[in-house]
Amino acid sequence: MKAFYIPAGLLALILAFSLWTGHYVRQRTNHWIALLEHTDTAAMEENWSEAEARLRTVYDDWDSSQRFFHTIMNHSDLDEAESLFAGARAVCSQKDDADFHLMLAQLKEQMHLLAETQSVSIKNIL
Amino acid sequence: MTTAFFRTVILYFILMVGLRLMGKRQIGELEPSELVLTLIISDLAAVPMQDFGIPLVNGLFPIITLLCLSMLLSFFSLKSIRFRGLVCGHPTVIVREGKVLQQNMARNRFTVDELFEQLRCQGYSDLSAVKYAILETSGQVSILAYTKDSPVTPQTLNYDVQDDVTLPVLLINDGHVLSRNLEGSGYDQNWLDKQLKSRRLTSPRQVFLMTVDEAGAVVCVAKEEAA
Repeated sequence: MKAFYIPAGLLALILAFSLWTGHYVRQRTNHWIALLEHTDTAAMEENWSEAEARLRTVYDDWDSSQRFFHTIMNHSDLDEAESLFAGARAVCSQKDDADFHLMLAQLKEQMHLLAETQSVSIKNIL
Repeated sequence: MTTAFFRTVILYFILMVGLRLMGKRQIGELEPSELVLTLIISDLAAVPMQDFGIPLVNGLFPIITLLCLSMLLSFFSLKSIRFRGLVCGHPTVIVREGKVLQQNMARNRFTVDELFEQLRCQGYSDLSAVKYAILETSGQVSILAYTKDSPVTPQTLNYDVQDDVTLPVLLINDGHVLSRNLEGSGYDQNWLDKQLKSRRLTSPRQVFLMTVDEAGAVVCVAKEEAA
């Protein structure tokens, strides 16, 4: 029965890891989206120092997950988010409300996209 | 990554079904499942190798998934005859007593040209000399001739011949002594040294190949620089 249990166990392990990865990425991106919304709120209240501090916190948290994220996701998707972070930081330092709001909206959309690429859905599979 | 997992499973079975539907003549010497495995794994391995933007696990996980699926198919094929028939197909008789079974040929998309090519390859020029031709699951054709057209053997002539077929065991392979084979054949290092000495060799490193059969006959080929 070893001939059955080893491959079946490995398949189950791969499936479980894949599902866990999808769940983990969704959890992490939701967390960053929530933090970005707080950052957006601070910017709308013209509290730029608070917005900058919150954006830095989100970026540091994001940066700490990059090693694992790069081992499971397409690097181009992550690089896109990285460049959006850089753009948001630059706009935040210029205190441009409209551009900053737009940049954060794009960043949140990119986070949704990252989670979407790892989720189990018929759309993705087909 | 789950997407990659499910995509791999789906692609594997689609290719498997496709190859089974194509018939045996497309397969050659590989079983359908082996061919599918070879086709996909070679491509899967190449993509992450070439595109550094794709994580390695995205290539590794599908490959491991495929290997596991293949092992599971082998397991179920071993346990169930019906499953084995589903995965590997069944041998098909395409010539019976010199008569071509056209329906069986068509079902396997096996052409007359291919049949005659196989007949010629196996030394048959005349279809009437063939009692059975069987298209095996591997895509090869086995040909069974009528007894009158079969090669003569000592048994058919009622000759009593001594059986002198023995299995040679490799003792030295390119200068390396295979100790397990040496002991398994009932010999030891002293015997080996004597054999070398009798051939004016001082070390097993000078030997390219040495075998001994069940009757004790030794074949020794020295390396060219030592010869």
